[in-house]
Amino acid sequence: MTEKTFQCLRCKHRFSGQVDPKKTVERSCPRCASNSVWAEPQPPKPKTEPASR
Amino acid sequence: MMDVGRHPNITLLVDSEVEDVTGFVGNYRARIRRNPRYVRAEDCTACGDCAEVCPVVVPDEYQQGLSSRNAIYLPFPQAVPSAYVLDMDDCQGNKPIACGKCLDACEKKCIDFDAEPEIFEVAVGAVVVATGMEVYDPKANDEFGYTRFPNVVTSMEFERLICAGGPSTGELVRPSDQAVPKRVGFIQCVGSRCSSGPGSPYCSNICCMNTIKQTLQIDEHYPDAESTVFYTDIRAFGKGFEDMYRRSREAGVRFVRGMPGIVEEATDGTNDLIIKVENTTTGELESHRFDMVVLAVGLVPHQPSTEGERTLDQILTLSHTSDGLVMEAHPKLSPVDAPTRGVYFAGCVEAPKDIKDSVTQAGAAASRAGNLLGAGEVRVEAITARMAHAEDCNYCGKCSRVCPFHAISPAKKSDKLLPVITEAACSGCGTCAAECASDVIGMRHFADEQLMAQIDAILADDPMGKVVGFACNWCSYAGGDNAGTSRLQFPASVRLIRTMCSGRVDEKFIWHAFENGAPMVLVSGCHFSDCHYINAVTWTQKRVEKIWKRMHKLGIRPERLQLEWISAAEGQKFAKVMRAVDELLREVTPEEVEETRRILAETSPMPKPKKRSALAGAPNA
Repeated sequence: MTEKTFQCLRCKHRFSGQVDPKKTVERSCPRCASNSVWAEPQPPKPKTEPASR
Repeated sequence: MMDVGRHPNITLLVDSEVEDVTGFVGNYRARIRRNPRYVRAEDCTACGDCAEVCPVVVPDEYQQGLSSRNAIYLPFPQAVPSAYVLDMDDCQGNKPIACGKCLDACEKKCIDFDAEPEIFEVAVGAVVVATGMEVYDPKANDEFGYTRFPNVVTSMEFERLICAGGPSTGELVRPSDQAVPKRVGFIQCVGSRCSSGPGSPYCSNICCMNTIKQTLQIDEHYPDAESTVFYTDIRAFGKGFEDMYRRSREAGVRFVRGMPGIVEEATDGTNDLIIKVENTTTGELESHRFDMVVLAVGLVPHQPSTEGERTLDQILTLSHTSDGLVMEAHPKLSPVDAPTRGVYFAGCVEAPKDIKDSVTQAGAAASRAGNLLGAGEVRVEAITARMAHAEDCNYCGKCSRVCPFHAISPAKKSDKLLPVITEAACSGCGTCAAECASDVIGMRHFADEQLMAQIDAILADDPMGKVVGFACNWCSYAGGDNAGTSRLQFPASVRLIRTMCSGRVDEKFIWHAFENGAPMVLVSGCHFSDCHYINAVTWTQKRVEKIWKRMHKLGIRPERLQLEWISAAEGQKFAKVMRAVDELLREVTPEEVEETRRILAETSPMPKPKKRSALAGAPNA
């Protein structure tokens, strides 16, 4: 189980929830009860500068 | 039981487990494991000589552990077949034989220490599932001091205590001192109607009437004894039940509305029990003293006893509701049918029910199975999947993996083995057709061409004022009907396209709508626990999540694709969703739609369809 941040695609409410990668579960927004809830994509990791020699 | 055992058309397989069921309606093969009984049932006369000499004594499960049995025993007096069974887990051992006293005592020589499990297959046309439920175990959470106080018993234990065939031969005695209790308290809803924590969220149906029956039994056997029932509300619906409840009250049974907060043992060494409760009728805090307290335990679905044990839904491709009960094909119109054709339910496996309802349902299930077998052929609805373009199959095997009914045999690239659709097993959800990236699988009815044409028709005129909506036949479309018949007001901007299941909504339908100027798309289906196609709805969610990510990547707002689960009873939710989607529609500008069309024309998220002959792609070819 990992914790992820979800965003409601109806009311834009953000909330966190547990995710079991092996299981697909019904999700709903705790504020507006919409099922249009997606796990926010992680921002791309900043490129690390190669260590100076 | 005796009738079943003697019926010429019924083969009774006792000590047996169904390990696997393969095939489809009218053509199932069940693999059965018959565990060794170590006593040849056909020779055993149930004389009991073997049990008399058996030195092993263990708690008797049938008597709820209130008395003991030997390692070789008769499961219960009316057991069919009426023959002894040797529990090898309790026996001192058969390899080598450690004791063997039963072997020597058996005149008929019907004990066989060398018996082995037997595995065999039977061909059956239909399957009736009647595996029942289990009684809630209050041990795990020490409900009302069950594990600490000897005189707190469950309703099942009470049943054995007051039964003439029970451990005390019908004499109601309390476990601590074998004295006849003069004051008995009953606590209702133990393990039932629990909104959180252990126990089931549903009402177990039988406990109220069982308690009322037991209070009447006490009154008949011990007129001086006092019974008090602590309840949330008494559910005495059904023929004769209200009359029974009235008789119980007239017999002097006291019914206190309120669930006890605490059960304590008296400190005077009597092992009596003190119950503290808020009487919600009077609003007063009361304290009651009892000789014995009975917990009216509820019914819970069967849980796998060992890790890795295959569950019923795995063996028979069944789906469960969120509270663990099996789901019917339709709760009102097909209450004894499983979603998998040719599988029927009888008794508590479907939901808690009393004997009368179980017998009624068993009759219905037997009748349904009889109709199926008697017909000699199976008729299926024409909405099934078909191999439309087999030549394009890339053997990915996705169709076979997503099929909730296991109706598609897996493709094998090494042998150039194409997937084979067993149409008798297909229920027509369309998930395979939606997931097939090569469009190899098509549907008879609800074909791609038909659905695409509907999208085009919606967007042909004033697309900016419309939402392309997909609704599944069983739930969300019916939810729309519910909203309509309830005269609920909602905007008409959402134009619904009906599919049998939301699993049918192909990724390409959504992209096609956006490519053709749809400002918003709505996909709606059943709640996960209501899915009429077992788990097809989970594939819908996965697909929509994938499209959201793709939209985000392409710079299209994912908000323009909405996903909602609406049940047939949720007319209110349907209207609310329509209003919410209409509001979102107003936020979409013509410039944004044009930009989306430009992006999609440049990037083309779906592979371009292959040129095929019109005949090959025809929906009913």
